[in-house]
Amino acid sequence: MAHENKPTAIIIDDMASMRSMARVMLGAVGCEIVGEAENGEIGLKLYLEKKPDLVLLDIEMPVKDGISTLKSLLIKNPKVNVVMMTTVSNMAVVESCIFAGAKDYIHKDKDPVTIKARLEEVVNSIFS
Amino acid sequence: MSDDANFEMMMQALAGEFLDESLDKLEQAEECLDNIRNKSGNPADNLLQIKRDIHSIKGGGIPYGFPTISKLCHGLEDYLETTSDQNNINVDDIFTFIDGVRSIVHERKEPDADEQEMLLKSMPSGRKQSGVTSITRGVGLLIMPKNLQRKVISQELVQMGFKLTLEDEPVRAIDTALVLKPDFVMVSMVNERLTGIEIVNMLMSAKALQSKLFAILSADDVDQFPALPTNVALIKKGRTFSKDLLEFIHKGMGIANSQQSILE
Repeated sequence: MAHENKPTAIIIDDMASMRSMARVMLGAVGCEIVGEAENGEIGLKLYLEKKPDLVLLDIEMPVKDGISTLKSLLIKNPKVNVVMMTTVSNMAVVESCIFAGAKDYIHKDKDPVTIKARLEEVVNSIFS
Repeated sequence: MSDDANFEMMMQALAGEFLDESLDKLEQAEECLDNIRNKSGNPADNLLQIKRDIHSIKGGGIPYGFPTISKLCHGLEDYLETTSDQNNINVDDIFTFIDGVRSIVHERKEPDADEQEMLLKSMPSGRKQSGVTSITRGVGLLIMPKNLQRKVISQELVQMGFKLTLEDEPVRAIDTALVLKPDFVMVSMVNERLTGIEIVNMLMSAKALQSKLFAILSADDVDQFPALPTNVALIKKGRTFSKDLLEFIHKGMGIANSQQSILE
């Protein structure tokens, strides 16, 4: 990875076990996790507090879902690096997110090695 | 130990967290179902919460090594999508799906292939007659992008008495077909990444599926598809859709008196 220091990241997902998975994966691909949030509202505050290099953002969440969180993040920082986490069945929503300004997406309903490989590819493309 | 093997071990260590969290989500979904049954609160809000809980569990099943949990959750989503009357859902049917997920969560073990097939096939279909689940005529797999057309076709098939699984991603659809071994597979010609004919050819090459029935759904005439295998039916979208669909069902499934299509 070309980044001088480890890129910092936050994870926004309502499932604690999915945040755990994302934490392990981001660590494995060379990111430093600086915070986690269980919905978009808390995630937005966390982003403003930590100013991470990367936001890993789930789409379907209570309180404030992924797409409205993405839009709020882009208002705060149009250059924010947001990667959406989604299931295969959400592809139409993913397209809307990419159109709105998300950098990329990963399918979280795959085997862990495949998810990690995809995350590595995405992180490298953003920070190289 | 390779990085991947090390990583997989770390994931396995986290699986308990996923199962415990799934149990919490199932309990929350059950509370919402009880609310619907007891007419407590807004039924739409309760149903939305159930859908959210199930979708959350579905997302973790595969990475945590419990694909059957994901398939059952997917089955429940299909059930809700193919149930035409969202204001009159059958609470007992949804409990059946939830109990199926819970049985795996309690066992903390992925079922073997036979158990998996049996469990998936034992789940209810969305068809109701006077509040009683009717006999299922067979199990179908519909592979087509999520859109209004899919909703109409799937509801049609469910009303005809078929238990239906829906897929919109070809690779996952192939996996589902191999696990479920459905009686018939209908594939849209236009899909993400692969054409309907490519998907059908892949499925037909699998030994477990060689005796099954296949059909392609397309807006074009059969003469536009010289590569269409001779034993694959073409169901044309549009004016002749209902006729083609009924013909495929009658001939293929050996049903003499299928009910009239609601599309006619």
